[in-house]
Amino acid sequence: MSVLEVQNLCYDYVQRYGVTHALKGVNGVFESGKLYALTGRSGSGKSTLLSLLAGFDRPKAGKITLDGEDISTVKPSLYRKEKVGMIFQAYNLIPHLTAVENVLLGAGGKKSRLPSEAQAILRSMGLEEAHFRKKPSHLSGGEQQRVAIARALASDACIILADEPTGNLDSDTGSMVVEILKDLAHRLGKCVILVTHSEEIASEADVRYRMSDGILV
Amino acid sequence: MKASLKNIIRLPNVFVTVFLVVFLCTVLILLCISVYRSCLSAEETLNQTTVVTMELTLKERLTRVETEDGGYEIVDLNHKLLDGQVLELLRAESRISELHYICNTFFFPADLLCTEAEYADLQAAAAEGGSFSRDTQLGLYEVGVAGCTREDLLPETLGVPKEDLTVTYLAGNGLEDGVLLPKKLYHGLGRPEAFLIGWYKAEGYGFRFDAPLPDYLLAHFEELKGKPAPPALSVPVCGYYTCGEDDQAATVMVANEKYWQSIYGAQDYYTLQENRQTFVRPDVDAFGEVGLAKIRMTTAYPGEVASIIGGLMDAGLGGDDYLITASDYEYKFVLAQMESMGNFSLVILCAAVLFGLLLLAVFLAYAVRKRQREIYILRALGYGEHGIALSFAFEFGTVILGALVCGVAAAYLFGNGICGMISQRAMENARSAVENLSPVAQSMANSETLRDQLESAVDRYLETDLSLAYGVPFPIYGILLGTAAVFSIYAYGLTRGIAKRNMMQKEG
Repeated sequence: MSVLEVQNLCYDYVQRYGVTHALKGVNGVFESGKLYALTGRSGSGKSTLLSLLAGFDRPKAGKITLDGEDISTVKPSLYRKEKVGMIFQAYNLIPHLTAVENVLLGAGGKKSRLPSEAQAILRSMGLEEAHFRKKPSHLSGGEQQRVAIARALASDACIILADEPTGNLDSDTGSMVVEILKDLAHRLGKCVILVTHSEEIASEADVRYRMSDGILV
Repeated sequence: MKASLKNIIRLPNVFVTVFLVVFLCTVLILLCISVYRSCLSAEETLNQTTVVTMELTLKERLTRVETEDGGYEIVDLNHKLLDGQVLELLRAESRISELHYICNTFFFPADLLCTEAEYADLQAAAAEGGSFSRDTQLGLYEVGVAGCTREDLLPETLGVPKEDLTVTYLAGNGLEDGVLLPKKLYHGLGRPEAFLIGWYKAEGYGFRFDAPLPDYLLAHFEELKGKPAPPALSVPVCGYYTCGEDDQAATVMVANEKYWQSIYGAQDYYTLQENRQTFVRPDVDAFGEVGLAKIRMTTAYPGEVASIIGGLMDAGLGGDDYLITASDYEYKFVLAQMESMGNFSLVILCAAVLFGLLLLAVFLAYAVRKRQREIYILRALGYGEHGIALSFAFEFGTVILGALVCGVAAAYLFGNGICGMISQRAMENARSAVENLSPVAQSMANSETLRDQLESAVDRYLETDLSLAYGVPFPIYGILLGTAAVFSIYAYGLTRGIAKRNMMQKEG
């Protein structure tokens, strides 16, 4: 069982008008097999925490450990490639690649991942086969997000980080995406951390954290 | 690599522009280089096959100045150089291949007959009244020697004892006894004095003198020494007295051209009839010119005419006394056509290189920035900066290389045809130059001459081997490949720069 732990995490943004303390000593534990919801107002530090968990940057203070190992000791790209799957609000699919190719892109280091496997993942996400060869621009928002989730799964990452994955979707599609994420956590044993503004979606999570003024409550 | 190749096809709006820029610039660059090299080659051929004639003309040297006693004095306006010195200057210029002397028939300088040193000896010998050790007759045809205006001054001037000197006057009407100059010249001079004499070649004038040949002149006639019967040389000198019935005198005065030429290097002096005709100028103002009137020079370095003339002027041929002109209109016309085409191709080449580099740099920057989001996504998916940058560099490098190869192939296939069209067009332009003489030129009195000159220049141009052909030296291909490599590295740097940016800042 993987355990992602953050200890006394601090992060500042240096901007023209001064320093913004985005995170002020965040502590928390994220275990596999659970869906975590991070809520909070805009600017509370949710996305910053998620970015640090994804290894996009180093915290100014504190540390993040995965199964007891400080992730700062691992090469960030390797960490992201093997341990983390990212899902974005804007899907962030490569526009000139097909759905299958986008999923394969998420396989990262797993060079042996076959298109058939990517198709299987897409199928498990409930995407119709007719859409497999389509480019993102020919897919609906919900379908694109499913492709994005499938891409996050393609690398067999143990941690799935989802930044407002339902933000651009209608409520029905959003609920369906949340169901998929729950399924990832419960059935596949992933540690899914979901950032959302929606209380309704947050209520679906196993654990709810609220970010307030840079502190995890 | 496969994915990168697929990307090239999937992103036509990104890569087609880059491809077109590189392709067009490559074709332009190669064609311009070909045209420029052809022009350089044609210029070289032109320089090797063109001989330019220059002409040095002596401006007015002598003038008549009225003296206080009512007479006239002849004043030499040019004290700077003796004719012999002029010749030395010209002979010292190695780029001048031929010299043709055209002399005034009234006065022929003695210094032209020998070197400076020998001339000094001549003067010294004359001053000392030196004798002549060889009983050889000196006879020169159509030339003169140092002399004087009166017969009684002749022995002193020539350095010949009076008793050794026989002067025979030929046909002519005299002014008075003892005056050697024709009436016209003698009156102009005003009084008898030692003076350069020449011979006056006009019907009825002339005389002969026989004297032992002085030592200083013997050197010039080495070949004569061994011969059993040295030819008799005669000097026709200006004069006006009739010598009676001596019709034989004229036959004696024929000089041996061979020796004359061997001494003075005037190979064509006597052989060119047209030149010879210029000597006979009965209407000439004898005081306007003396000695060398003109010198025709040829050079095999048409491109260095200005340098040759400048060098001569710097060496002492002052513009106040000498005028040097070059009949290099044809050469300049042909050269101007080729230089114009060469320069035009050079300008296009520079523009293609500059704009090509600039456009490619801008398009690459634009294309990479346009794919910025893709870079961030790849980074988020765990791809390394190096890997992403390498893949982008490969994509752009492949497109640039492909465009280069296509450009080289297109230039090779169509280069000769395009060069031929350019060449044809250039020749048509040259031909139309004759028809398009400006109205000013048309109205000028010598427009016919201008037209003739232009027509012959155009003919010369059409004869010149200006066969524009495709031809690019191999190093150019190397440079193009190097440029492709540099731009691939540039794309790598751009991509890596974006990939390196703080992802948090971007996400924020």
